[in-house]
Amino acid sequence: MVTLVTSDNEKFTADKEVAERSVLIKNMLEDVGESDQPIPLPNVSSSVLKKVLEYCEHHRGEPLPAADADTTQDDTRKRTTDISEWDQKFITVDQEMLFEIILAANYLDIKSLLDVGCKTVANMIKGKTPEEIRKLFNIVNDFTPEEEAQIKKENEWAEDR
Amino acid sequence: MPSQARSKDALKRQRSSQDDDPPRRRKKARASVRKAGERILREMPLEMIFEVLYYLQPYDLLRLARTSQDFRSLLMSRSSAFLWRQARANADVQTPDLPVNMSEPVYAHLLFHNFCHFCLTTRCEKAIWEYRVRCCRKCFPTRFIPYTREMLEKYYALSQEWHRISLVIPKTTADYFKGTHVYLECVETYNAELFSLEDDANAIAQWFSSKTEVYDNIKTHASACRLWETRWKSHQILERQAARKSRIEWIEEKAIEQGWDFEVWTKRAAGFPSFAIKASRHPSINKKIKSALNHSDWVKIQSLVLEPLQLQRSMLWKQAMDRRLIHLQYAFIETSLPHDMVLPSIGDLITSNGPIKQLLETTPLDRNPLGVDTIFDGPFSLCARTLASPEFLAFVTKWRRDKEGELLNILQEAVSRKCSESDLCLATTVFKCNARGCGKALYYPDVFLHCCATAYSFQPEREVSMSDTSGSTSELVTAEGNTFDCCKMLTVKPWNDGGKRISFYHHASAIFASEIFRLNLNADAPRLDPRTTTIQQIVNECPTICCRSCSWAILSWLDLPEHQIAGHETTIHWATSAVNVVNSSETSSTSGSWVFGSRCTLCWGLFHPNSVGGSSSSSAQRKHVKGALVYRLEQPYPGLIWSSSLLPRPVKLLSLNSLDTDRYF
Repeated sequence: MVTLVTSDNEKFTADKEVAERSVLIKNMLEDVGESDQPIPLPNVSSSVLKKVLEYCEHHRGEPLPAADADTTQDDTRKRTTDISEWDQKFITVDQEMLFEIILAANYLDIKSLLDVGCKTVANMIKGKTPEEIRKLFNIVNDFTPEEEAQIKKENEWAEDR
Repeated sequence: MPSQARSKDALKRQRSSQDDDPPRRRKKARASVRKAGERILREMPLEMIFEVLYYLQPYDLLRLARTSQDFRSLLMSRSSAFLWRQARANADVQTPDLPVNMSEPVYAHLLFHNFCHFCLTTRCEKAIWEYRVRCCRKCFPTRFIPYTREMLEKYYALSQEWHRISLVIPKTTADYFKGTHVYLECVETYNAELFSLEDDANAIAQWFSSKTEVYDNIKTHASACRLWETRWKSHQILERQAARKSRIEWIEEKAIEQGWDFEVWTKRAAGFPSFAIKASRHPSINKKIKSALNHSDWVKIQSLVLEPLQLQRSMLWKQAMDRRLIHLQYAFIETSLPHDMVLPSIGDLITSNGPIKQLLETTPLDRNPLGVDTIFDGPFSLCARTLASPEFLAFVTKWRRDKEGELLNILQEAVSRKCSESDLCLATTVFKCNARGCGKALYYPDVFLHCCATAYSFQPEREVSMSDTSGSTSELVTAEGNTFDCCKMLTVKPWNDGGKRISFYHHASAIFASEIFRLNLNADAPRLDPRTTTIQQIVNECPTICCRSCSWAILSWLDLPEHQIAGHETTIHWATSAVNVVNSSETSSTSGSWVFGSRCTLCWGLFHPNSVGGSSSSSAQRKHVKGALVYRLEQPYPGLIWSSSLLPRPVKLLSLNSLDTDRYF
């Protein structure tokens, strides 16, 4: 078992197999070796870690993505935003929690969870008009009316204009 | 913001939210949700924003680039070209390759921004791929010119190359303008370029060579784009259909969740859930997919969905009551009450306060079309037990007493004297059906079985005024919070509804009085007292009568008034006596020989000599009795519709061997 300490000093215990779905924790465990010392996670709050552990528990035993599977900028194979039913239910949270989960997944280096978070945000953007996107993410429209009319015409790279 | 500081903030926020009073906390929560959206795209590290953008498609990037200055500068930077490449790779329909002389955003704009590229306001689904622009009908005449020899001569005459230019200049056709057109800007550019080359033959040849290559590339790319456009449009259609289907499913699921299950299922079984289709096109959800729909969407379309479902529910309740009433009719016919008993009509059963109306109102109704009504469930069903109960027998007895009282009132009012129940059986007590076109003479107790007296539609004779009682409160049955006009559903009415369907037949009464007087003139005939002689006595004991006008050898005494009122000449057949009047039950079952004037006791029809007696005639006789029985069986219950799909016919009643025909008298 592994003990994890959150930013609000709450302790969580999890199976090593579950905790090691996080590459960060896995590396830390490898570095410290066999030890009962709790692992501090200063960037993750207890409510978020609870969700993250729920995700890891559900996906325990599944193969971890290979280290070299990271996408590079040149890799342009098709990416779909399909999310499994369980993951979809799991990620149906408010935007604040979604944001925290994405940050935690990034910090803990849980690629599959990060993908689920990013796909969810991408799905939120997909098919929406600029106004709808602004409303959804509370983006302030800082274009003047003239600029707004102009940007529809200007589609060249900024450097070429 | 450093992640550590952020989590501290989160902690602080969490602590402060615990201390706050509820209203303030709610306000803070709302503000937090608003802020969360902002944080997702503004505070996320750039590489994570890229992670999100990797999943988008070109038109999403285009739209995102139009939300704010920050996103615009991020996405319109040449360094973000990899995002656009990835977006094209993500496109649902693979796009043709990026043309060499186009940037990614311009290409995305051409492929996915369906507005005229010149006015930017008019929707323009069709692109002119040869020139890589979208042009609306309004802008087309100002931007394109017809491709003609005159045009070539006009623009290219000076360069003297007008005949060769036709091979390299891109040409297009527009749906809304006939003929081939060329882009004015292109014509002018080519003209200027050619003109600048002056008479340098090598340069001109090189120019033509490069333009031919460009034109070939354009043609190849344009045909690829056309193919892509067709696929993309098909994909969009399929996507819209799928989204609509999923919206409809969501609406149906929500409706089922709220208890409209049978309504949704029956609507779906009908193959046209119009309520969901209409609601799915509501502007607030028209473009959404199933996963994007939420409670607030439901609130917006709720009234649109529930209104038709409410109508459907009312229809299902009505159908359930309809089924119940048909089953009740069937059960009532099969009831084990004595067959010689005059029973109330189904109209009386469902309108009078009695065990049947109570049964209809108090037993829960099941609106499931495939469900079994609890009233009729099992061989000893609630309905069967009610029909066999002493309460039902008491109800029938009371009904009979009430109706006899009603007849007595009619009689007393007509003869202006007090009458007793025995007066109803007198030969001079004849009632008349007031239905227009009927006017039949009716005798007690057959008057209770006359079909016009219980018919739903009743047109009275001109001199009789009737009050309309259809849908009156007493006729309505309330079950499961719904009110049913059961009489309308079964197209029946209680006996003598409105009180004026039956009246005293003065003329027929006078005819019988005079006939009794005529009978008394004959010394051989038994002495009859008009004050005490019953109609049954006349039928059984008096000589037969015949109608000379219509050559009716033996006329029923019951039909006498109608013949005489019609002006027919009727005479008493003194030759026949009471002994000679054949009891048909004896004729058909025991004597086996035909006697002149043999009649069927069921329909009072004359038997043909061949139909009585002898083994060869038995089948004809059997057939006749069957038909007559069914007729008698159905007569008291007008409006009863036998449906072979719903109920089996009461076969056992049709079996001649099991019949005791006497019981039907």
